[in-house]
Amino acid sequence: MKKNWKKAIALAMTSAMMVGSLSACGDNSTPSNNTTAAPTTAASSNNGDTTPAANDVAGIDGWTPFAERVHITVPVYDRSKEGYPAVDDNYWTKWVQTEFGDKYNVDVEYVAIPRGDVMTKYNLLIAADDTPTILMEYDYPKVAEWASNGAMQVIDLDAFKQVAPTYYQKMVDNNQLAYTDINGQTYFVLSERPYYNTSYSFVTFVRMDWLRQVGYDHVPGSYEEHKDAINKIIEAGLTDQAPLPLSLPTTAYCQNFGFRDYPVDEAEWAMHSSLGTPSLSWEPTYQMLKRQNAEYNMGWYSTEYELDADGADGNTSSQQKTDFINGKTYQFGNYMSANVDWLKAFYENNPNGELAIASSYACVEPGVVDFPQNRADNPFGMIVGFSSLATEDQVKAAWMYMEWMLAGKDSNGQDVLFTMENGIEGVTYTLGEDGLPKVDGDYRGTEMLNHNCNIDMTCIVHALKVDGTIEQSIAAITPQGIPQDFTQDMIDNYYVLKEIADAQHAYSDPIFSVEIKSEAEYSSTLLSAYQEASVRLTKCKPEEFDAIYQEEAKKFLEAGYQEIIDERKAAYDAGNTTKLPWN
Amino acid sequence: MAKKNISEEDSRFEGIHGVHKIKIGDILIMAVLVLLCLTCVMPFVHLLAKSLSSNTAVLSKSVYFWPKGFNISAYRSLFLDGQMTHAMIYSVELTIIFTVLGMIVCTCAAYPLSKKRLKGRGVISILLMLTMYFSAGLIPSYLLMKQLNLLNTMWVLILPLIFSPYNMLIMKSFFQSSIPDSLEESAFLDGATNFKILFRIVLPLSKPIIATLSLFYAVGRWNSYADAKYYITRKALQPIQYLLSNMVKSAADSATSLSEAAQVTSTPEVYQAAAVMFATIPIMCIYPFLQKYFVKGVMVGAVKG
Amino acid sequence: MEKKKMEVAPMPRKKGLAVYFKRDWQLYVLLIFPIACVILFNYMAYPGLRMAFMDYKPAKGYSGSEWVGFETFQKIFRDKDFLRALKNSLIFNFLDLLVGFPMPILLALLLNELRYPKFKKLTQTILYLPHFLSWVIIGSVALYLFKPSTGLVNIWLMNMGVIKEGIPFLSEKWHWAVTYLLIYVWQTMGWGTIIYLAAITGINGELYEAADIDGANRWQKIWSITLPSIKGTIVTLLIMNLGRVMGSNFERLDSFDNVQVRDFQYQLAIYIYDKGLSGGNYSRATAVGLFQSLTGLILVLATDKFAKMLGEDGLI
Repeated sequence: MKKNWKKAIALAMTSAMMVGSLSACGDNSTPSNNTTAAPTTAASSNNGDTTPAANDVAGIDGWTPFAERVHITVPVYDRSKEGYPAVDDNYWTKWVQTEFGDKYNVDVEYVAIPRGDVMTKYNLLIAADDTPTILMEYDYPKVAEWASNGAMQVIDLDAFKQVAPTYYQKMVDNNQLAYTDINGQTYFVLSERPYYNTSYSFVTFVRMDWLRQVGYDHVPGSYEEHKDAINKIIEAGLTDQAPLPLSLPTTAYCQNFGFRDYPVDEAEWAMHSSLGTPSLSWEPTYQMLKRQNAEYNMGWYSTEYELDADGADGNTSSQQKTDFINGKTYQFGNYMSANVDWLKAFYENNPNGELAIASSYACVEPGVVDFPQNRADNPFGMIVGFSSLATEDQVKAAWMYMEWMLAGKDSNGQDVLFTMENGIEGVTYTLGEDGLPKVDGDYRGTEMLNHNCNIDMTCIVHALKVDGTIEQSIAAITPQGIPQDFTQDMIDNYYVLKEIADAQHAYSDPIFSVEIKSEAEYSSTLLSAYQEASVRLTKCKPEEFDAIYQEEAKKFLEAGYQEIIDERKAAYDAGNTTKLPWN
Repeated sequence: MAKKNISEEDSRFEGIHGVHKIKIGDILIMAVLVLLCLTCVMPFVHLLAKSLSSNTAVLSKSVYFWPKGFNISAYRSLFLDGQMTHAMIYSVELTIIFTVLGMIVCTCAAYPLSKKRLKGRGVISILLMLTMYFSAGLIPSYLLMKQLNLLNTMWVLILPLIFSPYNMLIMKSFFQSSIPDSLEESAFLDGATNFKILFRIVLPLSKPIIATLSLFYAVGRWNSYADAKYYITRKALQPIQYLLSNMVKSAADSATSLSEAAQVTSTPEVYQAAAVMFATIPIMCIYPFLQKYFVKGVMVGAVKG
Repeated sequence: MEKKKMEVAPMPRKKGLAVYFKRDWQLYVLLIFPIACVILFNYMAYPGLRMAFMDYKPAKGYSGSEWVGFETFQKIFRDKDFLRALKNSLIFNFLDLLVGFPMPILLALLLNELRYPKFKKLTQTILYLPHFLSWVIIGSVALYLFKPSTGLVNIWLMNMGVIKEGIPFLSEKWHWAVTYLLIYVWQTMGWGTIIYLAAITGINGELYEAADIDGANRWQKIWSITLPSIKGTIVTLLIMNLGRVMGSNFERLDSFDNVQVRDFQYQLAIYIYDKGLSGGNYSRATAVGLFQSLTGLILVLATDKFAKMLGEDGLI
């Protein structure tokens, strides 16, 4: 009975995904497929003003230039990377101006937002009445805060659909209409996040040569094997340091998914599952820390791991990277690209080293972790809202900008999105044998693409550049210039992850359509409290663990966590959250 | 022991301004200072060595005080990086304008206030000095700059800071303690105006303090970037220290990539080290030009009431 | 003061302001610039402090936000985190003053005793170097040097056999406190000598010559000539620094941050950033700032008065 039910869901999921990918292949006809819930806003009456032209053709064909020059400001993340041009003034910002702005009588101004300080910059801009026309962020609580504070205006999705039908249709296809509202009013449109429930671009590598030395011909596929292998590695003295890296939880992300019941209780999930605030007092977190403590006491982790919190990139620290490069540790993971400097450095320093991709099943231990469960990313990329100060024309121009980026053609007849992500043929990219563009990452002329193929401009339509099929996409981010070729391994890894996702073992955190005020108040304090507690709990003796956990959990609840879960529970009971996919 | 007695005897007769002869005390002092100097130089040597090493060597943290896999590619790409060179030129401009204007305003305040005869001196002093301890805070100041239409202009990095009570105090006491009143009195009797006295007599005698305060102003402007962080959004108007801090910070930032779940590469450490050297060396270069005023021993201006 | 004024330019009192103005109008003209500066860029921002008494929302502005009276202050003073931050700030700023204030004086005295001008020049220049490094960079170099088992200093000490186990310079809060303070001293001491050296060079050389004739040794001369001569400078700087006892430097704290030392590292700047700026809670950030300003000001005025009672010149 239970099995059938799972199968049915898996089937439904796959078919939903297929529909999504089909329509992504350039289906430009007017949307009629309204199977998902309709937008909750009441249709507004000023439809006539909002549609750009007198004729009622939706989308780009119906647009006419504005009678008067319209000025819009668009945020763009500033990552301060070496060798890139200024994010707010470069070849591509000018290109947008000539290709889009001049055509429709719009001034497009880009506003640099420092990536490390997004909220501070936005808040300052809002305070100075300089709110950009478009506000966007990856994190829901942030945009929810802007919306509740009055920095964003309520929008009419029907009008949006009229100006930007392709964009709207994508939202429908990706089941995103559930996320457009906060406090009962519509504020957001959302960009696409392809393959959101498989984090295939993050790959963990393990030392296959060490495994062979301790008698394994395969990567450990269960916790028992994993434990055995690590302990044997320590015994054999293959490293003079602790063999495994351990990160301080620098974001609230608790990797307790595997330790949760399946299916998890929805109310508990709504109360505790969060990227914003760690859940120290929740049972799965207890289980997770308990295992971590046992591992620490077996000598798996460095005694000073908490000092290495200077996460160089992603959620790993530069010390972990260094240790791996120097051949001191068993595993290291990070996001992949064609050029991964630490992999190159690893093989340079360890000419005989052999790596393999870690198994997702290395955590499985019957009774504790029955099968791997993953956190699926949000089913959307950017959450996009519009300034409360923007005029009707400005909002319309912003919508046109988004639709143009997604579905427009440039003056050469090429797709705008394609040009923005690949640049100019023969200059910034060449077409490969498979017909896919190959971007020249070393090109430094004026036409060079900004960080990660202009992702900080194109993120308004999708979170990830997609080249052809998933296999081709993976091939494009497989590390090059190293002795081993991981293309097939990475593709296999993707299918393992997909299997987990298809079995509904990967799900997202809840999203609240009301602002959780106590969370804004306490989350940063709780994060540092959790960091302190987790270090203490990891490093204590196993026999002391339970007593310390009780004490820390109590302190944690009193420090504001109780208030947060109460408020979340109330929101859940009032129906102001998303639901688990299987409910 | 015996030697020490003799040297003490010597000093009794010669004093420190006497014949040059090394004594235990001198050696001790020199040793302490050399040690301190070593600790000061070390970070620079370390950064320099890093900036001249290969990225692999730096990633494996095997570079200490001598480059490994010597190459200058980091510096080469630094000079080819349009943003960096632009910010450098801009920062130099900014610092020069700031220093010149700052010195003018500082003199305008310090000279009149150094005259005890000036009516209303007390009130004006308090008015000017209060700002040193009582600040409106970041957000009200930010909103004020917005009202004044200074956000996103070069002037927002200059005007709010050109009056420094601290520097003014130093200059004022220099005027009071080292420009003899008699000089001024006789000029007065000759019919010179206040302006004439300032430009013809006081300023030419004040080169040392002008040099010192210019250094304070210039270094202060060069090193600070917090105001740019809040007041400036346009990349073209950001000073080099701000770019640098962003670069180092974004390399150390971990909280960003989780919600993005995309490949986020950071600036290689080699390049960061080179950028630090690049941003630090120009401001250190002005020091030797001013140093002659420090060592000549004419610097009399010390803070006094 | 009064007497001296009369001597310099004797004026009939009756004519009053007009005469003063006629003689010194040029001085007043000069003063226009600095006064305009402070009024425009400092005083005009003070009305903005009213947001400390409002529930200020960036999107609503001053006019749209609600007045809440002292509610924000009440909230802050009930907040355990604030009290912790306040306590830490006071303790550490006081320690900064205790350790950091005398160092430049000592160093200036040492430098002044140097006899070789070239060596002196070089030493001075080198000692200024740390002033040119930002806290971010100092923090990363410090981590590199002071980590318990992989830090360079600990490796050296272990190799020399001085210690068996790494010293947790950064990972144990008491050690951290010492490291944190000493690095501050190291960073500021060289630059701080500039003022004192300037004061010392201003001392009349005849005093030393007279002391030489009296047969005073080095220490006696430092004690009875140099130090008394720069006492005014020392007192003035001390008063100025006292005003900063309530201050807090975010960059410095941020670059020495790690979980093991939050007990000490959580100071006002961190509090303002965490609970004020990054969350857009500007009322709270401004309220804490106002509190800092007021206490700083009161401290300065009080010490100034105290110094004057002791017969020093004071600040104002």
